Amino acid sequence: MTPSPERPFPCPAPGLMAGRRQGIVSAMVVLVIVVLAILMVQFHQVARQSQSTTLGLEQREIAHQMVEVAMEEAFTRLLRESLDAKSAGAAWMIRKDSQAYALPTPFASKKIQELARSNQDPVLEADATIIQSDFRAVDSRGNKYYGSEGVGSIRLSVRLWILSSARSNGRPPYAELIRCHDYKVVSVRTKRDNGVERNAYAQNFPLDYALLVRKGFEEFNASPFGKNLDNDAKRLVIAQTGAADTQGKVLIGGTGSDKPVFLNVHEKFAPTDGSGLVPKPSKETMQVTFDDCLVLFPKLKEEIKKAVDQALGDLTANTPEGADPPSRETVESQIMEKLRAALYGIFTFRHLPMVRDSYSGTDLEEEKRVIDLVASKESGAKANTQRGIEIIGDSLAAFSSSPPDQILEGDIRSRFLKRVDFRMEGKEGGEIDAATIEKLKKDTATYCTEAAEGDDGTALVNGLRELSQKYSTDLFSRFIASYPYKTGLAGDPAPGFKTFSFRNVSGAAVPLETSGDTGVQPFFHVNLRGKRMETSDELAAVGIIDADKGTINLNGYADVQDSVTIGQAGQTLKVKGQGGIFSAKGSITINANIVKESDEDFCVFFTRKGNIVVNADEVQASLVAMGSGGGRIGFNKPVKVKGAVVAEYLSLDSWAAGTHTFTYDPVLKSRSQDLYVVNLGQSITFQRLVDGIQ
Amino acid sequence: MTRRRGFSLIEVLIACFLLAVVLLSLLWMNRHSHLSSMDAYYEGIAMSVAREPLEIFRGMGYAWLDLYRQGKADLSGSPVLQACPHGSWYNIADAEEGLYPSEACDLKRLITVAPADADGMKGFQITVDVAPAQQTRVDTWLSRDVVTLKSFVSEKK
Repeated sequence: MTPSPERPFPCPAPGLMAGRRQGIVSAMVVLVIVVLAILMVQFHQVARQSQSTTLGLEQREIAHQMVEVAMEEAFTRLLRESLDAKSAGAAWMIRKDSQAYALPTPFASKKIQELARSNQDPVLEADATIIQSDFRAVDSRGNKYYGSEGVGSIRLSVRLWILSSARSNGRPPYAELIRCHDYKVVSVRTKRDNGVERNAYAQNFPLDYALLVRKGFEEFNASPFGKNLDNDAKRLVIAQTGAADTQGKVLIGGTGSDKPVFLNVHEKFAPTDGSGLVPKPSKETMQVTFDDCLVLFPKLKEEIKKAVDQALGDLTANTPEGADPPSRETVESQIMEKLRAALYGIFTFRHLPMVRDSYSGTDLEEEKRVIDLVASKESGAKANTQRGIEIIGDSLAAFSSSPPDQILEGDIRSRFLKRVDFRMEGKEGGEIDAATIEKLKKDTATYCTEAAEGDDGTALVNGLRELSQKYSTDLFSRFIASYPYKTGLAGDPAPGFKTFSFRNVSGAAVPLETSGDTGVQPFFHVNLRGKRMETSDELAAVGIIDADKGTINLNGYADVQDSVTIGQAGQTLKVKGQGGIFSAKGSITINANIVKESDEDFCVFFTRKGNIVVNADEVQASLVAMGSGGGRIGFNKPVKVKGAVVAEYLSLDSWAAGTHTFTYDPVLKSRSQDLYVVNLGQSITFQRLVDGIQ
Repeated sequence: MTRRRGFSLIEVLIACFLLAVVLLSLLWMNRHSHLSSMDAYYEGIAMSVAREPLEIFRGMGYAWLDLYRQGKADLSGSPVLQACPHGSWYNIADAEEGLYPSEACDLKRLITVAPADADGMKGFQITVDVAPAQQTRVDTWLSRDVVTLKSFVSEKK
């Protein structure tokens, strides 16, 4: 387009200009329409996308519900297995198996079909894995837990495929829910060979014992002296049955190394043939000379002097005049010769029970008199002549099934009466007439004790001492407590039984009496408690005590910080499961009767700082009051306990009058098998949901 | 005289027709997209309203659900629980102010709990139906009459 004089500027011709304008408008209209169309399509796509997203979210929500349902079932099934220590699941947790443990989910597999759409056939897979690196086998101070005990984590995994074909084709799951739960493995019984010391700390070591009194020796020698073990009004019988290696031991703490305690033997343990707890004496009689008799009875010399005087008088009167009467020495010598030839003394030795049901009859009255006289010369616990507790059983027959050497620890002795009597005898047919001999016998018959009464008594005691020295034989009646609490003994047996060390929490061997942080502490590992509560009421809230069903439901140990009250008077609670209820800072009061639902079940009541008070007739449970507190167990009624009884002090004298029977529960003892329970925590410690993978 | 070129009537009519078709299509697409968006939006809200009791009930557990089903559970302690009555439609608008977003207040909710024991497990089926409340804008936008979400809660014993 070139400029011309008519059109100084190049421009299209008018007709051509109009055509161009029309083209621009059309193009703009088309452009607007295209832009609008693009925007509309974009908007439509966004709308479709959001609809699709909503649909996807809904699908994910449904998948979420599906894996939640499956997870609940998987957890519940593992929880159920954890409550049964014999189940495969519990065994898997106890041995800390590194293999995954498959968990069936039949309930969820059915129910998720109802949640799925019609074109879906969802399938589930669930398993549990122990997080090996998470398992802690030591406490916060580095003290090792016993055996398989420990605290760990379990990871539960539930995987969902919306279409079963996707799973069979090896595609990843549509959703996976992972949860972690803490779990604890705690021993409720630990193996123990009665004849061997423990070589590691096991927190439930008190259950080895039918009776353990940590400060028994101290209590024995404190007022009221010896009444923790010898008590007429309060009888205690420890009855055990079954094989010896399933029986509970009996230990009175602090004994040993010349620190014995004794149990006064009742007549039923003392048959006359010496087969019981009272052995036969090594010699039953000892003859002494007439001169020895004079040592015992100096007054006899006066009688002899009188007789000499009389004889001298008679001889002088009958001596012819002029003849010399025999000298006094001669007469005396002749008389003494005759007396020596005709008379002698007899000591009789008898071993007799310390306690009889009745002391009627002359001999038994004398026996009681001897006991009282001997006791009068004793002090403290040694003056105690009351009936001993029966630690093997209530009859001699129990000794055959409960061998004392395998059951008793420490220096526990049986105590009986060695009764020594003296009398003079004469040889019949001699020059002394029978009436005189009989009179002498009667006049000189005496029981030999150190309790002298009057001048005669003092002379007798001195004489007995002299003769004891002369014949190297103790000629006094005494209480003998040098024999261990065994049957069929004779001679001079070594007293006492084997004494074992205990283990403190760090595993060091220490004497039972050691207290404090490095001392002997039962049930020390609080981290292994299955449940922890503030008050006793919470025992019902968490289902441990079910008053409606009358049960105590146990799986491991439950710790209550406060004092604990179990049941009401007249109520009976059944123990289901294995474990215990502990009071960390208070006391335990048992009002209800406690019975075991089955032989396998058992319960331990333990207080570290308080006492246990039993107001029931029957407690089929172990009672442990040991730690840093009073540590006493009181029975306000004659009671039957089936389990272990462990206390700092027995305080038998404060119990209700009557007979209390402790029967050891054989389920508490095994020579070779530990018994663990698993506490699987319901709280979720970690959760991750991955969905929409497929 | 130069003769101006122009459009014939036929050309104009055809152009108008094409324009109308295109614009109507775009309008239809726009409306449909709008409907879909709003449907998705309100369905999302309805799903959230339906999910809420499922999450709460799962947390409360089987034993509580048993009481709830029998009308013995105490719902008075929590405004959220008060908004979850059993077996009757509940207008979300009646809930405590501020508890739900304003869009959710155009919805109503029905919760039913029924036993669903099987295979040694005790459980409850929880069904939550969410629908538009009467004469609300949600009624206009939500394509489904009722949004339903189900789940199961089993006893952990």
